[in-house]
Amino acid sequence: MRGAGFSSRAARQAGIGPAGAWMLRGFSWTLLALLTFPLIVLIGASFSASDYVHFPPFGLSLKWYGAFVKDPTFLNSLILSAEIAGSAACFATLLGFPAAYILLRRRFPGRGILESLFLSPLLVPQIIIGVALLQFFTFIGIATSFAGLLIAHVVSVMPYVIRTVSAALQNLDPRIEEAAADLGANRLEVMALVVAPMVKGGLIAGALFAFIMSWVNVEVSIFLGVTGGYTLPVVLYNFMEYSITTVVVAAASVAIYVGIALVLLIDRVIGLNTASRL
Amino acid sequence: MPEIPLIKVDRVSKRYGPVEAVQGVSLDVERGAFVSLLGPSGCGKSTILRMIAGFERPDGGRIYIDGSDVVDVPAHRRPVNMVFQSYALFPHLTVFDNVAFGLRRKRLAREVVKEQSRHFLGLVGLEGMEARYPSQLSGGQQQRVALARALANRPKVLLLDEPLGALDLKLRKRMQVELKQLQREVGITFIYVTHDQDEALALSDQIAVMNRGELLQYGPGRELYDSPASEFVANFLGEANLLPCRILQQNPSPAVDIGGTAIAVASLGDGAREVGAAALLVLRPEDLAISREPPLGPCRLPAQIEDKVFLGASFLIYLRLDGDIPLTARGSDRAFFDSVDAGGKVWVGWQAERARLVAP
Amino acid sequence: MTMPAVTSVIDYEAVASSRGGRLGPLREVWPLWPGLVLLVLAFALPLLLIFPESVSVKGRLSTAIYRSIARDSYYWSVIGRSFWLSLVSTLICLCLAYPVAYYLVRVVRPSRARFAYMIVIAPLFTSAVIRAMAWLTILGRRGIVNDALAYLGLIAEPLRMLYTEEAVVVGLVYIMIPFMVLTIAAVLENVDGTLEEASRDLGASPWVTFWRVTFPLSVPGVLAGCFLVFALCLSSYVTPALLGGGRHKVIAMLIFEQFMRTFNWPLGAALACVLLIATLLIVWGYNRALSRRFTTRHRVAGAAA
Repeated sequence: MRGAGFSSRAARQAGIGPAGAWMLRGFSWTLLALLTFPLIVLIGASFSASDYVHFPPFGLSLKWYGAFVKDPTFLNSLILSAEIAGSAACFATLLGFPAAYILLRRRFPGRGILESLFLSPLLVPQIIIGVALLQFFTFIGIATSFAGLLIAHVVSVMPYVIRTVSAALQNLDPRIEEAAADLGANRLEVMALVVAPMVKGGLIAGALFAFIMSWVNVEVSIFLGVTGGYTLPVVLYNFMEYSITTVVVAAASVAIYVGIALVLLIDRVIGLNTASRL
Repeated sequence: MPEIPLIKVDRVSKRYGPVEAVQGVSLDVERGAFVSLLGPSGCGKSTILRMIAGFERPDGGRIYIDGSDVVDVPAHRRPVNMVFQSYALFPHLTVFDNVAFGLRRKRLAREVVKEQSRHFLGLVGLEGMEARYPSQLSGGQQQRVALARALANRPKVLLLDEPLGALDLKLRKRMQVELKQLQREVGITFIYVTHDQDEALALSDQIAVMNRGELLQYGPGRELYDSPASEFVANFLGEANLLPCRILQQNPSPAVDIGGTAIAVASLGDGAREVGAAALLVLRPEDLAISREPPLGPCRLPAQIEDKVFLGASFLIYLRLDGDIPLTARGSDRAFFDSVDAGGKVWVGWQAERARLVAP
Repeated sequence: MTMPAVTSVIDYEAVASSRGGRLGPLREVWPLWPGLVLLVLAFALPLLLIFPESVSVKGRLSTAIYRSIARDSYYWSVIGRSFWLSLVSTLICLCLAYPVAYYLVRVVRPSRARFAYMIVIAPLFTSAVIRAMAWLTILGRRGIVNDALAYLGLIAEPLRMLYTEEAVVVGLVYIMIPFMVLTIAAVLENVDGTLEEASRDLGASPWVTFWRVTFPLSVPGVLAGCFLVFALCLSSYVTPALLGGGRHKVIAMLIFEQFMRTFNWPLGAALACVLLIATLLIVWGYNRALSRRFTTRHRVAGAAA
């Protein structure tokens, strides 16, 4: 049907006429615009010349980004967030990929339980994970260490890697792994030389998911500062308890840019349609 | 000193849930032989192959390779290699890296790996393709890479799981010839799984016919064809006419009763053959002679022609015996073909040695 | 053609005994161990240790804390508020997200779909703190909403929108919409379009087709999405803390206070246990909803080999 607007096959099957389609279209794009609106407000306000936060911004200037970079609290928290997120992504992938592979390929008693266990950090409220780890790490003395914070993040984001990698592994032909074994590869070699390259996309996407979930994490990080600082979201939170000035908004905008960059990256690696199924 | 067989499968069985995929199968594979496991899908032939390769574990029985029990040895440690039905090439590696894969696992020197890989690629006719990826190759080429990859490891036995199944007819016939030549050149023992009896007959030194998990007969193709041990084997390898009959006598010369007529047979065959027991007489279509007058000799029956079909190099004649028993004859004498018609009454004769008795 | 000499030959060695025996299965899955050990030591164990903390009063086992929680109406009001806010947020979220999900699955042009999904997913990649900050800016006294209303002459004085329960709901809905949209969209995709055709063929109007065919088939997914969002709302800390201004407390805020301000860890642990049990019940409901027979599972998280 031309002219009156695009009508997908699915819409025609459901009997949605052009009027219905336009209503749905209008409603949806309005809502989607509203979804982006708050982020746009922050980004816009970050370019304001004045330190009073307002949207639309009073005057335009990049000076608050400059202030953000020069402020040691912000800069250190940015670096800490990046370090933690990067390391957590690496470790989560290194530990999560073998776990996902074994859970998928091998049958053993208790497999179902282990599967649930590996995914359970997604189900337990973040705040409870936070207090549990605070309590436990204080007990063993690593509550204010980089290692403690890193462990907390790895545990929190590993399920994302496992889900992403599992989805990619489903499409793998087990015969190829058999061929590798037949040719003399032991299990480690099969996993590293044959399976891993074949699910490269899934691994990268999983690592990216892990990164961003660590990057935005606040309700676990808030309990585990490192001597010397907190991650960026926690620093922002602390600032917000007093007052919000444009430099804080600039810092938040930087975090938003990272998030957008990751959306685009993940789209390039596995496509957002796949990503949204996970 | 008799040589021990290279592969000895000893009373092996395997079940999947309620299904008995393999039931007490025993067979020996001689060094340097080309053996086919032949049977319809689901008969267990692939399962046996996978058990030899080490991908499945037998529930009962043992498997010996070169005298050693391998049942507990994992697949990557066995001196056998497999060519998979779907080739299972590594998509992320070049042709060269695919072929070199097994050699590298053995930690051979780089020069050796290169030389060996090139050699086997040349053997299968793919020199120059080293840098390509599997996705860039045709089906036939991929098949050859799979072959080279397996052979490069100098396995004691090469296992092939219906490797030509995905190829079109002409290519398949050509690859059959090449495979046979390759096997002779390389001298490695081949165990080949197929459901195509023509292929099995063309390629193998020995054929093992299987059905429903059981090994029915094992021997050279000619022996299976001329002396089938059961109705299934008779039907599976080539076409067969199966005439219901009753054992008439053992002495002074063996004979059976077909619809009231006594017919001489060369022997009553193996197994219990009591007088009066029911049996089937196996006659190959090409062994039948049709004539207007009753032929000489003790093997003849009157029949009526129902239809005739021209097939080019040969023709088929469909007949019916008294007692409503269908019969098919095959011949190539054009003059004869033209001279007969549906409805004609004729005599069918054959030589006693050409017929076999099997249990019903 | 002769074979070139090979310098190394694979020598078949007979491995006499089985590899592993009883320990076999454990050895088989060894690549799993590092992740498993980490999970057990740094997740399962700490979680299990919350409970003992909540029942140890002055070094002895006692349920005194739970009893004091149960008796104090303050805690009930906080718990009640948490449930109420979560419920309202979930329902509003459902009403807003369902049409969008339907649009994305049935109507949207494929070329726009990718862009639309990007918009849905992007907020998930920003921290809850940042999203709360945005709403503080928008709904503040001198925020854009008040400015617009004043500009239009609708109000004389700026409205006080922040630090109210309504603001918390707005914040929560904003955070949860992507989850709800994605969950419902995944389920709607599995609803066979030919069923809708059949319905119309049998005389039902498109609207009736939706209510009698499409929507009922999507109910398990809707329920799953609602459970998910409800659980997330119930346990959220940052949004209610920032947008509620400390006056409208929810469970998570109480827990935080006990651990970080008043250092009454046993009380915090007890409250955490209450929240954990509530969440587990909701998750159980979520699984039940997803296993209803006329919907296929939309999650892919390891499956049959």
